[in-house]
Amino acid sequence: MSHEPHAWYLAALRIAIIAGVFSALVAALLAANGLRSLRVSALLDGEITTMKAELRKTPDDAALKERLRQVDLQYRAEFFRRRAVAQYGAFLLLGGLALFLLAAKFAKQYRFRAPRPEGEVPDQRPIAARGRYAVALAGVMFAGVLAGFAVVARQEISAEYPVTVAAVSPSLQGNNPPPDNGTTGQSPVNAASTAVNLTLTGQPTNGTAQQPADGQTPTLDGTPPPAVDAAKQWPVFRGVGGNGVARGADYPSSWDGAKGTNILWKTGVPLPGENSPVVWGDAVFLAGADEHQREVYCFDANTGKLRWKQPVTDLSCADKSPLEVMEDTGYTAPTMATDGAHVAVMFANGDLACFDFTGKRLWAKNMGKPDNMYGHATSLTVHKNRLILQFDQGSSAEDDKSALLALDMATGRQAWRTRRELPASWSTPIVIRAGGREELITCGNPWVIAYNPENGKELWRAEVLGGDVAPSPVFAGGLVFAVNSGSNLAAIRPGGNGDVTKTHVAWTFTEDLPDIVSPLSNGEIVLTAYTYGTLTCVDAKTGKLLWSQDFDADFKSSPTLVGDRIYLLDAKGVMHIFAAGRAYKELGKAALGEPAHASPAFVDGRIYIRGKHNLYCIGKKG
Amino acid sequence: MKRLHALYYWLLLILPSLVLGEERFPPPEFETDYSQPLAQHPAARAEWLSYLDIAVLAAALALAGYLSLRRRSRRGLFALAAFSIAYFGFFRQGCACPVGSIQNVALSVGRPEYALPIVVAAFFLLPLVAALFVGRAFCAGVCPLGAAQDVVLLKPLKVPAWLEHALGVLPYIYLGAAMLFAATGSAFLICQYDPFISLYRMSGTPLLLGITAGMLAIGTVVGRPYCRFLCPYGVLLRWLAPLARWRVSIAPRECVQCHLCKDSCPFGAIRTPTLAENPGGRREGKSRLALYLLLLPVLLAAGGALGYLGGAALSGQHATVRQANRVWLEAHGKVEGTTLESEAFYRHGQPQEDLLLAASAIRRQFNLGGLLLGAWIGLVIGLKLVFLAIRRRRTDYQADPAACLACGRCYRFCPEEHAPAGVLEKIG
Repeated sequence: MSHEPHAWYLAALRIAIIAGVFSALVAALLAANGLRSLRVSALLDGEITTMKAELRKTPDDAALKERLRQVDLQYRAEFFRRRAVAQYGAFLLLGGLALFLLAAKFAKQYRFRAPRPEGEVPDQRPIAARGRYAVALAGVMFAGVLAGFAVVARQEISAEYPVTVAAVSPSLQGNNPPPDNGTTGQSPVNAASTAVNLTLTGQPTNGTAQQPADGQTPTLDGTPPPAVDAAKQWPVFRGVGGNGVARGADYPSSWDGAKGTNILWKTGVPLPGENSPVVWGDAVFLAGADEHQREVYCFDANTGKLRWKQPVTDLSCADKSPLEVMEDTGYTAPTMATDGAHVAVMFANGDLACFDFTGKRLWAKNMGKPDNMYGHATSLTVHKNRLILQFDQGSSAEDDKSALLALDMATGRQAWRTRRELPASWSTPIVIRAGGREELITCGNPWVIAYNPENGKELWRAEVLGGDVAPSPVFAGGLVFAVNSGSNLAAIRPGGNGDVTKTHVAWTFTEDLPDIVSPLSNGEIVLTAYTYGTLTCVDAKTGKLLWSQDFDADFKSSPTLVGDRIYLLDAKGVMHIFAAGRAYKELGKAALGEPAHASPAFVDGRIYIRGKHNLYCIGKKG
Repeated sequence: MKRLHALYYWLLLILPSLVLGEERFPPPEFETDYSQPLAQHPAARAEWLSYLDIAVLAAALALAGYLSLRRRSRRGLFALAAFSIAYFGFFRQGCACPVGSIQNVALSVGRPEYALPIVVAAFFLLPLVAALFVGRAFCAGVCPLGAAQDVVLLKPLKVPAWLEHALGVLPYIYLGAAMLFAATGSAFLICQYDPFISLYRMSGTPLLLGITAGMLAIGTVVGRPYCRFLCPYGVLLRWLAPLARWRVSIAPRECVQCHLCKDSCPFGAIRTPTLAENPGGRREGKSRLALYLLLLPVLLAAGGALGYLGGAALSGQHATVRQANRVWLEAHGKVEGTTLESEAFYRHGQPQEDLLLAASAIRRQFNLGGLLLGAWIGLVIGLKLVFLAIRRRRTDYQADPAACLACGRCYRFCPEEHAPAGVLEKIG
């Protein structure tokens, strides 16, 4: 019998060897390709990231841009080249391995050896015994692994997580990202313990906490520094509650800016702005800006002296294109907001900053350049220790850019953010209390939407508005009044859920509606002022027209209720004072002596008016 | 008038396309004459192809049963394995797969809002139903994972029995862990660590590629290492295959006790005859069995307790728990900066307490799941010990119906296979 290997066997063996060596080589080359690809990608990616960071600092560096393009192209070319190599190599490797296996199996056939069973049947008992020991050992090892997991589980941070809502500690409430650039790095735990706890009610509280009753706007309770009656301050646009209702009495009904009659002081404001003054204690805050500068001012309410001014100019914004705003809106239309310990400001370019009363900047961030054809004008407001920002943008709801945000006043950390499917608007939200709960009322096109101010969750909405919504809502007599030119003046009962258009809209009125000026109500009447001089007064409960009065004046500023009188400033700086009644009755006029668009602030018998160039404090002399 | 109508209809045609063509992110204005290509979206796979996959699987199972039990053709099974590699492996890229479908089933149990697709349900059930008739025909030549291992096996080495018993516990543990992670919506472990997916998709992370290469390399000398020591679906097949209507028999007719098939199975699936037991040994065996039976509930309880305590450690695999951990660390200043995930969370506006409460709830799910997994491991270890303590009387070499992969390799070792019926009797 011949012991020479079969020819087919030799051929198959040789093919297997060649295919095996070929496959090994291809595999090695693929591995090298993969390693090199990882290394080069990391290098180029790091270089690109560095250059992008440099470009953000120097956006006009043309040479840097060109270098970035070149490196980016190199990165992509390298990536696709190595990927092509990997793809072709994979096919070659697969082919080589398939050929190797086929040849090897073919060769193996010729090496098949008949079985030669040797010896007796082995005793299975020791084999089974060894098997039992091995299984037992495996069991012990897995028990050890589980025990290790048990130790790890106890040390994991998730072991400290609250199990029930009641167990959530205050420091973990809200949505608080870590500090951004320009913050003081205050931790949420510290912030929660030191932040001023604020609620808003309609009753004077002398700094003490009080549970507000239904139907009243929430109150402002302040803790240190000054012991002021929070309810009588003017902390946000149109005062406490945003309703344009002045507290206190004895406000002057006549003055003359040119002659100085009843002008306690008058101070120049360095930079222009359309924002209204906010007042807390003996501090009056304004913001000013032009194309290049943005500043915050604090004036002494007693003397008009500028206590401090702080710039807000070092915040980065991804969009470096020039900011275009309407002349009427300007670069700082949003009114500031204060909680008695902090004061926040927002500018048309999206810069948002917060200071303490000494002028120290606590935090600042850029919210992104607003996509707003007239320029961002929605004022800030405050709820408890949070800053509320209605940031509506875009030309249609489909742009999906609008949002309502709540930020921690002390740290700037976001507590919550709620998307709004609405285009840009210029209305300022208010917080009310109704039906045993607080509601954050917002206006937009076409919805008036109420949210829970604690978490931003939507409560109800009513489709009553349209167009470019600028007037802010007010709450009086248990009704929310919202208005915009070309749509409705609507009275809505709060406290609903979901779409309440058909169930909670008490009445609507459609004549001579304003497009800028916010309405005013004392619960009996609702007053609106059309930009070009028409005042309209309707019954608050029924919406029936009571009276209408034409003025030879333009109105940009919103009216204020002072007792049984209404103060309305026209664009030339003339204050029209008339009765808050069911018939028009003029009570007086007072001229500032310069144009004025901002809404005045009424605090403690003084009226603070921002004219085009100066800030005035008006009060009874002597 | 006709022209006006034509213009009207043209506008009706053009305007919608202009609206649809409006780009959400307008391209930059290129300074060269480069024109941006239109974005194209691949069409979804036709639904009828899914039903074709089910039909092919059913046909392949039937053919595997026929080839392994009726024709007893090793070559036929090899060809079927090659087809499975090509169709279920490279063409379908290893998905859907009965092995991974366990997780889909577990997820549908754990999360009622998840709807189990018909294709996945069919892929899960068909091999199990086939096992009730023809044993592990799925493993014989249909499973692409098994087929790949079968094809690369060149020089099988015998795995020591004690090691085989110890490693035999792994598929059960893998099954339990995979179901726990799937039911809690954390991860599809079987798919994530499929050692052959990078082969069939011809790409993968360095880790997966390494696992594939390693598994195939081991598979050249160790018969079907994944099938025997890891495959969780094999656990289910092991339970059903002994109930099969028709089973693999090494001898086509009667075993003539020639012992030629003793070492024919590269997968250790042949049970050998046993020796007679002496009375003393029998008593000792009974005592041992009684001890293991008493130990069974203890192992169950101990495993359950350890699993309950340790289960929460596994919860970190869940995306919500990972996110909560990161947000918590950032909130407490224990890490610097943010990650993409934490930034996305902050932008989403969800309150932290909601996230932490959700993570707590998932942790509790893992506590319960860990208890079940631990008890399961205890049960498996205990039953393994019990089965190893049970003495069985066998006189012939038999294919273990639970472990036999119906590959047909043992057939040619049997002289009865090569002799026509009756010839051996005449010779004898």
